[in-house]
Amino acid sequence: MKGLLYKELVQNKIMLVAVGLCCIFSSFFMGILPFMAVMAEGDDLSNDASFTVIMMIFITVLDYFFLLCFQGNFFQTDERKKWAYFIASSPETSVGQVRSKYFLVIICDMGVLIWSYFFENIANPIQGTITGTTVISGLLFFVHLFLSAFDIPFMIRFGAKGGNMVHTVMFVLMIAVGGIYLLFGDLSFFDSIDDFYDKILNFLHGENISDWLYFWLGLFIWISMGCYWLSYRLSCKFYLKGVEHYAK
Amino acid sequence: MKGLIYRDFCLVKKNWIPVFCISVGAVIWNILVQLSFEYGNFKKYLLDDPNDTSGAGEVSRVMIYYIGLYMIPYLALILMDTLSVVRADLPVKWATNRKIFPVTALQWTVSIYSIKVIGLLIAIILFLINGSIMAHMTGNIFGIYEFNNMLLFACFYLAFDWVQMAFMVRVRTEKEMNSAAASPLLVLIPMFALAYPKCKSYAFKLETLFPEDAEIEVQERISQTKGLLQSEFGVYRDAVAPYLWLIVLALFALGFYLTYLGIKRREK
Repeated sequence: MKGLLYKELVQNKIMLVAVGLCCIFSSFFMGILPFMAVMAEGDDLSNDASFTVIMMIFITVLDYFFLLCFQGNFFQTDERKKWAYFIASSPETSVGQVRSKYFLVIICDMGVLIWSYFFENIANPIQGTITGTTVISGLLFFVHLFLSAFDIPFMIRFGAKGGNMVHTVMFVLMIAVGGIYLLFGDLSFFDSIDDFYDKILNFLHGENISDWLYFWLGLFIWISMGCYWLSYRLSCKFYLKGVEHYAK
Repeated sequence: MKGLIYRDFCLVKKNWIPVFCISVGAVIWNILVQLSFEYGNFKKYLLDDPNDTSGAGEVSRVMIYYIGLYMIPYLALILMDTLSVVRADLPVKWATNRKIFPVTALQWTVSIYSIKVIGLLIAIILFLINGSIMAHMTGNIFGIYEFNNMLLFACFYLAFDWVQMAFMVRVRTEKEMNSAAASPLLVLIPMFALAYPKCKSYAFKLETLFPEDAEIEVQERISQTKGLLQSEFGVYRDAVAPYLWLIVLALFALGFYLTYLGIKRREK
């Protein structure tokens, strides 16, 4: 297991560096540079916390989005029939191979979580507010696990290309449903957009939160972890069937 | 002949399916947007907005109508792209292997161009369906003027296409193919050079038409801009409009002849 994980890290070195650089550059360019420019003008942003919070949430979402985009490449690097049959006949078996992939995704996920915590602590003194977006990052960690749980079995069953196709179709469907909701749905919550901001700020600072929200969030965390485990079990079963779809 | 067309269809299928799906999706999306103007949120927040006195809702409806109408030619005319046929032929050495089949250069060119014509016809049909439904829903006129605009789009597309086809079909290696892919610049650069002074004068006139501190109604602004556009560019468009289908045919013929020559040359 340790050896396979080491192999994954070495094999996907370039991708991991790419994700890291994307996260670091996007965070610095959007989270710190504008605020430094404002400070150079001599203005004080500490009164206008909502803009800073929205910006930080956007950066955090973007970081996880980068990871989700690059994730397909982790599976593409091992798409060789020879390797798949070799690892299946070794003592690790295909279960070890699939497990190492799932561990790699979790490690990257944790990397992004740690980075967002780290970045918040760098950025907040410059921005002049306490944004508390690590809470959002922690939630997104489990959202990412939940999405990956649906994503990875397709990649293993139909190859990375087929998995990406499913990815795209799901993305298009989500955009279509969102667009149709914007055209015909109930948009009355936009009328009270200030309340919405206040709710987000309260949530981030841990004020006025109902017990039900805590309950649903806790439940979601357990559901996402369960889904991830289930998808791992499914992928173990699918691995050798998916090998037939490999090009080489 | 039938087999050749079938072969070409198999090769362009990969490009056609996404383009076709996106075009049909765009048609459905346009219909949904117009339905939203009748019954949905666009009606609620744009048309029936009590704070809006300048008619901005109506203006945005007109804008969205025209964007939706001319989005279809932009998307669907990509169906005329048959370069993937030529591209796929290089690795399998079709130019050499063709000699063992009873296929002449003329037959092959006809098969490539028949795919192009089918693509153009599909694009026109999608445009007509989209335009007629949207015009019916909004009460706008959809007639020969809009159809001529569609042909104008096709002319622009074919203007780059004949150069590219002629160059692409002559290449023998992958490396040459990359340089041939840049050949539309031969047409694009002179076209921009010709259009630049006209566009600059248009921008200058637009600036003098609306000084910064003048208070002009939105409707008035739109009608004046429309008038200026007509006097600057529309005159030329109206002059060529009756002959547009002839121009399309001529560009097709030119591309056909050059492709035929290229294939002939590759035989040597």
